Amino acid sequence: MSALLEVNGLGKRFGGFVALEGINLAIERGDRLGLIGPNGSGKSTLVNCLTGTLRNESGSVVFDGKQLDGMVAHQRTRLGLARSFQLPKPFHTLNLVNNIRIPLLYTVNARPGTHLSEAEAETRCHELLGQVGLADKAMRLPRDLTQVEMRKMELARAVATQPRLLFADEAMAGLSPSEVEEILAVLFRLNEQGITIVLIEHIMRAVMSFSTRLVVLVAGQKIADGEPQEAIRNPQVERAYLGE
Amino acid sequence: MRNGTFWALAIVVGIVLLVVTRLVTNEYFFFAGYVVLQYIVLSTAWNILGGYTGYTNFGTAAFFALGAYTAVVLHKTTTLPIPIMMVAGGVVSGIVGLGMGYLTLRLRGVFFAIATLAMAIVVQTFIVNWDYVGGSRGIYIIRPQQAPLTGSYIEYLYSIMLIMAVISVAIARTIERSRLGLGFAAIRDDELAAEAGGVPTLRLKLIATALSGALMGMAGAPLPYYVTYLDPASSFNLAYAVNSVAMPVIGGMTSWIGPVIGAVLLGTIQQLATVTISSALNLLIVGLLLILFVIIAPNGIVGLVRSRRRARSAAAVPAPQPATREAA
Amino acid sequence: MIVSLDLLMNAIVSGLLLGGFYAAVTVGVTVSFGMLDIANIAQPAFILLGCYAAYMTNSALGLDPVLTGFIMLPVFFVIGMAVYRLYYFAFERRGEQAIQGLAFFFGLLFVAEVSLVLVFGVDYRFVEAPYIGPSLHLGLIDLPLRMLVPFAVSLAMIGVLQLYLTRSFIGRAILAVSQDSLALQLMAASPIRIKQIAFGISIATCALAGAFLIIIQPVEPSIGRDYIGRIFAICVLGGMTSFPGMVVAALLIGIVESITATFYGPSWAPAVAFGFLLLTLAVRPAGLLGRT
Repeated sequence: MSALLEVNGLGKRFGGFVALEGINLAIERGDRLGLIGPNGSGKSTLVNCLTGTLRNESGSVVFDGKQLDGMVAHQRTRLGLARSFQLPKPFHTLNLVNNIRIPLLYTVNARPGTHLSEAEAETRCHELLGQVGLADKAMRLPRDLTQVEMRKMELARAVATQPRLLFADEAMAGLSPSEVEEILAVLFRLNEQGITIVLIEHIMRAVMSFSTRLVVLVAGQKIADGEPQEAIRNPQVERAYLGE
Repeated sequence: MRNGTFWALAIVVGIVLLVVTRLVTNEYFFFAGYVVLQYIVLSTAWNILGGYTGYTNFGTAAFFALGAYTAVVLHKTTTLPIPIMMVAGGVVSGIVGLGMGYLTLRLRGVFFAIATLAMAIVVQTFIVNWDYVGGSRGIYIIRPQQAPLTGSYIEYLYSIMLIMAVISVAIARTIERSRLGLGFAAIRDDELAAEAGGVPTLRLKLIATALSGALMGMAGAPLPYYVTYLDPASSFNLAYAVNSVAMPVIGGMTSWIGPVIGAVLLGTIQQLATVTISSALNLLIVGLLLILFVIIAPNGIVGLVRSRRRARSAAAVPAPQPATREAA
Repeated sequence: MIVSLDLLMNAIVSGLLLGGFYAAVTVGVTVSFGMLDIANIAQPAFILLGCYAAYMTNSALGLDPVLTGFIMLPVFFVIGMAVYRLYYFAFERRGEQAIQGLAFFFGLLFVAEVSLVLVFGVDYRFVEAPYIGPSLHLGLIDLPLRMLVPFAVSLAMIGVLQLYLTRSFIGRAILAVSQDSLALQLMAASPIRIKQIAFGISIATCALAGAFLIIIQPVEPSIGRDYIGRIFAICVLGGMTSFPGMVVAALLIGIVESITATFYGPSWAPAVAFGFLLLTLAVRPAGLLGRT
C-alpha cells in the first residue's frame, strides 16, 4: 500500500533565498512523525507548502494517491490534510463553538456523503470542545482563553475537519511541562483514533516520547529520516544543534 | 428568531409602512424619505463586504452610478418598468464588482480598497466621455405621466425604495445567520485560518463583492427618475462615497441593524441640515464623525450598546452570535 | 490620425517631466506604505495642503512657491508626526483591523477636501513665478520651465532622501524597521519613534510636492482624487520600497499619460494610472524591479 503522503523533490525559494531544496518524504498511515530542526531550517515553510498556504516551485506532493500540486489550502483541507498554526489564529469576534463550527461546516459538510444537520453540527462542536477540555468555555470569546487553552482550541479546530493527516505546528511552544503533557495527551489520543500526526516541535523530550519516526531539517534540506534514537545520533544532526 | 419569521416580519413592517405613507400628504416627506431609504440600501450593501467580510470598498459611488446610468441607457432605448431596470442595474454593477474583485481580491484587503478608490474615478471618466448618456453636460429624464400606483410619482419611487430597503435588510440578516455569514466572519477575523479551515475564501469574497455591488446598482437605478436631471458630478457625488462608509461605521458594522441605524440617523440629520447649513459643511461634519467614531467607538453605536449591556449583566455573556441557538 | 514626430517627441518629453513630478508625489507613500505598511490614502490631501500653502504665500507675499515648499518642510514634518501618533494610538497599538485604519485616512482625505472647499471655494487657484510661462527650446522639443523646475527639484529631493535613508543612522533605522521591527527593538532603538520620524518625512515631502503641483497647473480641492490611483499605481509598480523602481514607474506612467492626453484627450489620464494599477496587481505585485 502506498504511503499516505508522498513528497518528491519539493523546493521553495523566496526571491534569491532557498528555503527548501529537494525534500523527499513519505508518511505512512498511522505514523507519529516528529519534524525537528534549528530555527530557520524550513520546517514551517514545509508545512505551509504541503498544506497549500504557500506554493512550492518544484517537486510534487501526492496525498492518498491524489496530486496536490496547484490545489489551494481549502481544497487540501477538504481532502483530509489539516494543520494547526504555530501562533494561534482564532476567529476573535466569534465564540469557541463558532470557531469550531466554521471548519466543520466547510469541510465535513462540503464532502459528499457526510452532511451534518444543524443540530448534529452543534452537538459535534460541543463534543470536540469537550475532548480538549474546553466544554465549559464553549460560549466564551477567544480572548478569554489562556495560552494552553488557545492551543487546544487550535487543535480542536483542525480536528473538526476530520483530517487523516494533521500537522501540529509548534503547538507546545512556551508552555509549562504539565501543559506540554496535556497537549501531548491530546495528540496521542488523536493518533489512536486513526489520525496520522506530524509533530513540528523544539521540545526534544516531547518529540522523542511521541515520535515513531524522526525527520530532521537543516538549512532547507533533510539530513536525517528514521528511528528517533538513530536520527538523533546522526553526526550531522549533532553538528547542526551543537555546532562544530 | 428564525429567518423565516424575520422575513415575514420584515414584509409585514414593509406593508404597514407602505400603507401608513398613503396617509402622508406632504410631498417633501417622500423626497427626503427616498434619500434615507436609499442610504439604508447603500449602507447595508456596503456592510456585507465591509463589516461582514472585512474588505473596504471606497467606490460605492461607482457601483451606484453604474446602476443609474444603466437605467438611463434603458430609458433611451426601451420602456421598462423601474423594477426591471433595477435588476438590470444590479446585474451590471454586480458584474463590474466581480471583475474588479477577481483582479484584486487575491491580494491584501488594502489593495482592494485602493483599487476601488481609483475605480470610482475611472468609471466617472468613462461616463464623462460618453455622449450617449449626456457626457459631462448631463441628461434630462422625463418621468412617465402616470405613476404605476395611485399617488404621485415621487410616492411611487419612495415605495419602491422602501421595498428595496426591506429586501436588502432581510438579505443581510439571512446572510448573518447562515453558513455564508460565518464564512464571511472567518475571512474578516483571520483569512489565513479560514482558508486553512476549508473556507473557499476567494469564492466567498467574490460573492460578497458581487452581491454588494449588485445591491448598490439596484439602489442607483431609480435615481434618474428621482432627480430628473442626471450629470456625472451629482451621481458621483462625494456624499455617496463618504456616507456609505460613515453610516455603517457609525451605526455598527457587525450587525444588519448598524447600517440601518447609521443611515436613518445620519440621513435624517443631513436632510434636515441641508436646509439650514451648506451642504459642504454638512459633509464636513459627517467626515469628522467618521474619524471620531473610527478612533473612539470602532464598533459603532451597536457596539456601544452591546458593551454597555455586557457590562451590566453579571457574568460575561458574549454578544449575540450568528448561527447559534440564542435568541436574537 | 497621423502621428507627427515632433508631437510624439514632445509628448514623451513632457511625459518625462511629468513623471519626475509624479515621483515627488509618490515618494511619501513609498515610505509610508512601502516601508511602514501604512496605507495612507490621504496623501493627496496633504499634497493639496501644500498647494494651498504655496498659493497663500504667493498671493499675499509674492513668495516663490518652491521656496514656500522648503519653508513648509518642517511644518509638514511635525504634522506628519502628529498624524502618526494619532494613528498609532488609535489603531496600531490595538492591532485593529485594517478597515478602521483605512476608514480613518479616508475620513482625513474627505475632511481635507471639504474644508478646502469651505475656506477657498471651488475656483481654480494658481501661483505666479518667473519660470511659469517661458520654455526652453531645443530643436523640435519644448521644455516648459514650469515643468522643468519641479522635475529637477523633485529628483534632487528624492536623491537627498535616498542618501539620508542609506547613510544616516536614523535613515538606516527606518529601512531596518521596514524589514524587521523586532530586530530593531533588540538594537535598543524604539520602532515607534523611528516610524514617527519616517511618517513625518513622508508627509513633509507633500509640502514640496504640493508646491510643484500648483506650479504645473492651477488647483482646486477635488483634483486630489485623481492622484490616489496614480500614487498607488506608481508605488506598487515601482516595487513598494525601492526608490529607483518608483522613479522608473513614475516616468513610465508620466509618458503613457502624456501620450494618451496628446492623442486621445486629457480626460482619459486617470484611466491610464488605474489601468496600470489593476494590471500590476493582477500580474506582478512585486513591481517592475522585482522586490515585494
